[in-house]
Amino acid sequence: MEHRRGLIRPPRPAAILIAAAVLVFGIAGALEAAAHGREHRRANSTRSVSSAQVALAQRVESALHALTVTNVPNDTGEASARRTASRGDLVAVAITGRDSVVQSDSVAPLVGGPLTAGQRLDADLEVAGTLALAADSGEVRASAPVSLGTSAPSRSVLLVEPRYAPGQSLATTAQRRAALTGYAFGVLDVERLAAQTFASLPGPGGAVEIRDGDAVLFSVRDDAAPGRPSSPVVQNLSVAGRTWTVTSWVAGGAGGLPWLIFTAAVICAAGVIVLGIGAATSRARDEHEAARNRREFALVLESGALLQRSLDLADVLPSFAVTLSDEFNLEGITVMLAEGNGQLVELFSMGARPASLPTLADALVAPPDSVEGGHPLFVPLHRAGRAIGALWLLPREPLSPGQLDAVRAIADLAGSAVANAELYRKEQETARRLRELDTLKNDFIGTVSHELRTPVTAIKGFSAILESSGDQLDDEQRRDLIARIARNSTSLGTMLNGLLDFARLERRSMALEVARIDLAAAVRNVVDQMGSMLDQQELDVDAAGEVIAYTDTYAVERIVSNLLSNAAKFSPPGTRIQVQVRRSATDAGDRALVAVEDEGPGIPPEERGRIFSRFYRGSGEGVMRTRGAGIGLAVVQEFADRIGATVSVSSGRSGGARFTVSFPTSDPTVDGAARDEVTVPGQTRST
Amino acid sequence: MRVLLRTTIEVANRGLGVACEARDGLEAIEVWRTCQPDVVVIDHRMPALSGLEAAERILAERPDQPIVLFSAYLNDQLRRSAAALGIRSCLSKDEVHRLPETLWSIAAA
Repeated sequence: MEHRRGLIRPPRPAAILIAAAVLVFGIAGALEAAAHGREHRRANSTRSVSSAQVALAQRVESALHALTVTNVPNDTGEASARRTASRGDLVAVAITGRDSVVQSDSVAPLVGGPLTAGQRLDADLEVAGTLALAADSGEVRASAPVSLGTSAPSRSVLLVEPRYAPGQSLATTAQRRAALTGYAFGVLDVERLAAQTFASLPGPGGAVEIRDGDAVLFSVRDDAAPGRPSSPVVQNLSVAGRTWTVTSWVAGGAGGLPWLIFTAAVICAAGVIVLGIGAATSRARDEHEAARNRREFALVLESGALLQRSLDLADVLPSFAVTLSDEFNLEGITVMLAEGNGQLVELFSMGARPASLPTLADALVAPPDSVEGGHPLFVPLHRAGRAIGALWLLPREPLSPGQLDAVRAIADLAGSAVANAELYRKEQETARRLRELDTLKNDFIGTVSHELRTPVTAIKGFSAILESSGDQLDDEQRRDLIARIARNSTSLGTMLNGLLDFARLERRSMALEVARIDLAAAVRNVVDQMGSMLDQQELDVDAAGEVIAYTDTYAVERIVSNLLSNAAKFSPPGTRIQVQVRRSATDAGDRALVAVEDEGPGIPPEERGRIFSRFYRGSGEGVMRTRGAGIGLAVVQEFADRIGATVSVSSGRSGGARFTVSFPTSDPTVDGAARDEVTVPGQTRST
Repeated sequence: MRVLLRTTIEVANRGLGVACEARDGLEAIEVWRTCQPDVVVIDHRMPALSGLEAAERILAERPDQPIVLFSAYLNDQLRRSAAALGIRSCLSKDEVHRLPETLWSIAAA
């Protein structure tokens, strides 16, 4: 007992001081560890919420798209509503007039709410306000949460797109109000949508809440761990004119782990001064780490906001690259997207760039755990869980695993933004091409109808003169009129043949049969048939003997007659048109050539790549003075492609145009025969 | 088309004759300045310069020049534009047989 008493005698003042010092360190370390843990959880929570927010934004965007698809002008409300009722996250859609609902359709019947058929639109103040905003702005507008009748989801948001009378100018608010015919409505079940994207996110003891102003759209809280959530991270999401605020909290208070550390510190305080020194060192390291974590999640936030700012990559990628480059001290950064075959193509680059662009699979073959300074790395860009491209980074200094995690989180945000922007760009490009084609086709229809009416009018007019006043004319005048009727009839026939060829080639409904033929004889035959149309120029035909080619006779006839018509159209009267058929030996093998050369103004080199395009007409004065629909040379090219021939254009000896068509001289269906490379100016394709 | 018009006019005779011809709108203005015809008959759809544009330039130089617009596409809008410019008469290409009487009525006015 004496011995035991000795053991519990009061400690000496020095030991009390040491123990007190270690105890203070222990408490400080415990509190710091708690803060440190919160920072970590907060960073993770922020990244997860950012990713979920992007996913939510995409689903809202899909819903808006589904609504726009519903809103087809002139379509009946019923057909339109039914077509889309089950699409995307819209649980109901409706088409309305200016004052009341015309037709609605939903997953479950909506009883008594503003979407019931026949319901007046001004019955609900919130709905009426949203309608006015949409009608005046001409854009889709979202409402605050509204009550939609007994069977609708409790937290629903209305998406409203205005419908205007077609063909009206919508430049000003007054014009938009006047042209308004009604609205397309969509109901978004926000609670379900948010639950699917955010439900698993808050983490132990954390919470996530989505608000529109004072109204709570969604709220979830994990009650697994004790303590009150703290340190909210707030992000805003813009939805069709409204702002949803997404707030996430991590668990607060001291958990079990920090108090264990505290207890351990008390036990060890009796003699372990070294522990205090170690705690001090650890504290400094943790402070540094916590500061870096704070910077990283601030960066994730900043990048997320930056990438959502615009759908035009040229607007956002430079700022995005500068932000990343500053934070991670990068020597170079390149953003790449994978094409259909997996090959990466560069979208944007700053500073050093990769020596060559690999395929996506090669780039992502071995994801690194850490990175040395001066060593490049590829980080995947994901969209909907699938890699769609990569970031290439060249850091000057090593990147820690924590920094790598931050880079990956940012790359996930960038993946969605880049993919959306790329989709948007492609849609814009498609729309532009369709507009161009539409203009060309309209011009084409106008030109063709004029071209057809001109000979018809001439035939009718000359016939009428012969009929009414034939007896006043002498024989020569009568013969002249009859010859003109015949020429106009031939011209009409040629034009109709050209249009029919064009239509059948477009529909791919023309059957061509390649066979062994005498090309020279086929060309002589075409020239004989066209003789009467070529009376303004002198025709010089060099097609004696036999030149064998494997081709289709009808295609040869159409190719040569189009080239001759073209030459006659652009050559002044009295000039010479030369037609030549011969065999030619080239590196690629024997070919049979047909050349048509005129003494007209020729085709400028910069136009040679485009003259074979559909509806294209040149811009020179010669072209302006002639008529045509711009399909003759396109028909020549189409026929040539179909029979394995090639067409090229060059300058003739007099400066006029020289078209050369090269035909195969061996049977292309026999093994070993060359698969021809069809070459036209500006393009190459395999047949 | 020019041959058809000329033949129609010449067969109708009765003092009508073709003073000069041009291939397009630009040439029409040059020819008109030297030829000074009583009536101009001009197509609307032409290469280089449309009939309305050529007529506008002619009328800017001589506002009382009688002009007949001869077109395959006479709609109300084209007729209104022609009338606004001061073109006396419009004739569809389907009505080429009415050209002599149109010319006579303009000459008589």
